[in-house]
Amino acid sequence: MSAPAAATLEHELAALRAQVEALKGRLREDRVSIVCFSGEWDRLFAAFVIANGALAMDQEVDLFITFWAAASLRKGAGNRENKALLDRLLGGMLPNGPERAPLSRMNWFGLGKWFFRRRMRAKGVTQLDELVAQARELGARFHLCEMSADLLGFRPGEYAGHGNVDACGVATFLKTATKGSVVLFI
Amino acid sequence: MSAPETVLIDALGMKCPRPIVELAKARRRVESGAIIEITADDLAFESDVRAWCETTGSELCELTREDARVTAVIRLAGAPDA
Repeated sequence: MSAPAAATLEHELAALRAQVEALKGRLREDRVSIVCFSGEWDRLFAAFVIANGALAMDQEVDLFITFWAAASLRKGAGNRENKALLDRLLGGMLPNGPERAPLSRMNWFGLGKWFFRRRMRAKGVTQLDELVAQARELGARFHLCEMSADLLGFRPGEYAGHGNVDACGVATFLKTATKGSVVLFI
Repeated sequence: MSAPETVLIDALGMKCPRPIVELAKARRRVESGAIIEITADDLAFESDVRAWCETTGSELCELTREDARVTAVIRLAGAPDA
């Protein structure tokens, strides 16, 4: 092969390599991003069934906890410490923990939920609080929307029972969600 | 060469997503190449176990159905962080 031909080939190869690198950066990861917005028990249940399934299939799971879900996914610490009166009132009026959240339909002052939980036990369906703990165990990352948590008067300590929950904003969500092909708002 | 490790999972009475979560948990415990035999009676299981194998790169060696009871024999691919 003549020297100029080899040089052209090398040049083309370098261009192709650069293209492959650029494309790699745009590849979708096996990542599921779920915005948990609703605080109702049944909607959280749907979110965590999907999260557990995805984790079992080796997919990365990022849960972005915001608004009403920020109330229902609190765990552990009490509502009182060092809170202003209004924050305490808000915290007290909203469900503290997933199993205290109401159903979106047929809640019947908690009777409907009691009935559902009983049926779940009878039919071998995993309970919501177990799904939440299991998602954590299998490696789901929990992100707390700092703005809505603060708006509702919640402290980071109220999520301490979940382990590491990092505070984040919308930019973190968008950056993470853009990397995966499954993005859910529940 | 020793025979591959075989793990039995009884997922009878478990509903979605428990059976595949149990599969995933077992997979984290054993070595790549191990065999898992799992029995479930959830109606979604047959479809889900196929999807699980395809996604995780595991091989579905055998699938037998007996009434509502489905038994799958799976040769595992390595866990991602194993």
